[in-house]
Amino acid sequence: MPSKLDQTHQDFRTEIGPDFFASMIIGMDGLSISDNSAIDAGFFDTEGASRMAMIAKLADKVSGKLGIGKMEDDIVTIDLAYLILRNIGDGSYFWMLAVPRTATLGTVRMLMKEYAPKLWDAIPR
Amino acid sequence: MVVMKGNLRDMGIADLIQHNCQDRKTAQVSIEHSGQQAVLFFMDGNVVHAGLGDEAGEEVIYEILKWEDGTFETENIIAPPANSIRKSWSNLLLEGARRIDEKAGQTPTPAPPKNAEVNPMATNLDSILKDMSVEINGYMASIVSGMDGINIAEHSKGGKVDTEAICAQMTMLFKLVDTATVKVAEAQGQAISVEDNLLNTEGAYVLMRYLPGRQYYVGVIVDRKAGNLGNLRLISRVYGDRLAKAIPG
Repeated sequence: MPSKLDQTHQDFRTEIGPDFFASMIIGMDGLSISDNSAIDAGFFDTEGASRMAMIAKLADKVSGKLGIGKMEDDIVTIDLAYLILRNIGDGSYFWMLAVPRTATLGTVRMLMKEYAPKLWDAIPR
Repeated sequence: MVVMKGNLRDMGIADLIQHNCQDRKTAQVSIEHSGQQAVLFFMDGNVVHAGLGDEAGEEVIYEILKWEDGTFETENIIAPPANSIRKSWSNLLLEGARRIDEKAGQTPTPAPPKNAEVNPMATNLDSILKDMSVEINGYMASIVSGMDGINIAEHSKGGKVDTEAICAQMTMLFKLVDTATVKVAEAQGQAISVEDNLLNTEGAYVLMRYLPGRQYYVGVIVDRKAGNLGNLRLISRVYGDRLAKAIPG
């Protein structure tokens, strides 16, 4: 039986539909605690998780240094995909999502905003 | 069949137009605002028809771009029922933004040039950034920088922003984003390149976008309350080409 976190992850994937490559919940220590993938992509292995954690940390730090408030999300546009990093809960975890460039970014962000608290609630503490 | 429903507060009209055009959707978007119903039709990367009551055509777009709340529904269709719009979607958004500025009593955004990607008026980097500033909603500051973090051009609203600090922070982040994503892809035997990075915070949108040639990037900071993500990405892309052409050598 899947954990509540994995089930919430799956619910998000179901809702987002075909505009989904992969998704992972990562601690700020760079270790993944849940993942869900429709593709085989390196971003979602151990090395990818730790490198993305570095980006999430620096993005948060830069937001603070520039005095523009807490980071909400960071969107990296690469050739065929958007990589979206979003802090969840108290900032001890973040969510990394990859969607194709054909995805409707506004809708994806809207759904991430909706699911971030659900994922946070599902993380065992 | 309805494929997407949403609220204009989460996704504005400009974003809806941009996404449907960039995705080259053949679709109908029905929009409801304060009891008014508008409908937009998309095909082949453009908005080809718009209707609002008895009105049709470009003027409908300019009217509904002012709508900040309401709901929308997107449906896939076989073909639009009419073709009342000839202008490109980017020119429609620029003209819409200019009219909104004009009505608000602000310095009007210049009318879009016939070829929106080339404006012969501004040829040096600082003046291009200045031109760009009036077309980006909520604009605060912008820089053009190499990956060494030294800016070669800068502009800020009112000149009160520490552009050097902004440049240093943006470069640090953009470099890490680029290095980390490329290295991860390389480890998997894939070759990718980063196009841009958009940092969204409680107070601002911060966009870093490579200029053609990838030796320099343009960085823009926009006030979150007044800014619009679609507008920011669109205008920075249009001006990115102009900036690249103006860089000596």
